[in-house]
Amino acid sequence: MFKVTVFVQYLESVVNPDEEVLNEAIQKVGTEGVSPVKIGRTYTFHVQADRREEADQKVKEVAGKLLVNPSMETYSVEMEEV
Amino acid sequence: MKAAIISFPGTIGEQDIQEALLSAGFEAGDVEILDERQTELSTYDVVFLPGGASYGDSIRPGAAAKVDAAAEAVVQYAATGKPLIGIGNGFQLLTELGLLPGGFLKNKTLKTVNGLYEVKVESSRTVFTNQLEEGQTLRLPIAHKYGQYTADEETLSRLKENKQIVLTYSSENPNGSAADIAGIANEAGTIVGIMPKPERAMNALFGSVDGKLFFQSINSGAVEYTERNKK
Repeated sequence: MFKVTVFVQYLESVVNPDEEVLNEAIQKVGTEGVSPVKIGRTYTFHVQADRREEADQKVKEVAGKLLVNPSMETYSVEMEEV
Repeated sequence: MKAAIISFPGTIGEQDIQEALLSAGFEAGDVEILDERQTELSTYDVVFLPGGASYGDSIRPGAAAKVDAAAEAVVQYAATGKPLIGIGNGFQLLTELGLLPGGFLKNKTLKTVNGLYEVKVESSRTVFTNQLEEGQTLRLPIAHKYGQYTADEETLSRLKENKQIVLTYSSENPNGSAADIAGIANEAGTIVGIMPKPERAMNALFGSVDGKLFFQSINSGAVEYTERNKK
């Protein structure tokens, strides 16, 4: 059994309209030394698999078919055996 | 001609499209509204994906709908070259399915836009615009939150070169879409996706009747495209 976290972000070339508002708002919070913030989405789930390769395959399938739109987004995966 | 209109949970525009097709001359029995469980579309001559917010735009607009049986049926149907039109959320679904290139972001101003906007007809060589004149400007209603069409430079160049841009916003771009794109088509002109809603511009009471020629294009031009692109 593997615990999976998929982090989805827009590609560098895509300008997320929400980020401009978020970063203006962060300025108003006033905390020093905070860089511009990038917004992403996180999906967490468990995958039933005997081996890491099998779990990888399942994550790729779910990510590719639903969680991520490759024409606009990129993703990374953290996986640990539990 | 038999038309199918696919309605997913959260789809809103299916009845307006049905009404628009009836006013364009379709018989009542030839326009069917089907739900997300539909597995077979081969008996239809034209398929519509309406506007709205299928599955509440969860994950991404159109993303949850793309894994429904009906979406798979749409992909199979599209491969035969018959007319397929996506309006609003339907256009978003076509991009999620990869049947049209690009994707959608929230409107640049973050405002949900709602109103009549001026659009220019860039191509009349599609199943949905063949009764319109290139260069003509129309007033059509739009109502969307995720209308900002986006695509990489290569895709945008390709769309321009192949004349795949069908509609552009002409006096004001309400959502910041790339190249002022309001609608595009595949190279053959058989798959069309547009953000404005011609089905809401069929009656003078609503401020514009510029939608009528889109639906008349289905009757007149769609058969010709089907014959030309039969596979």
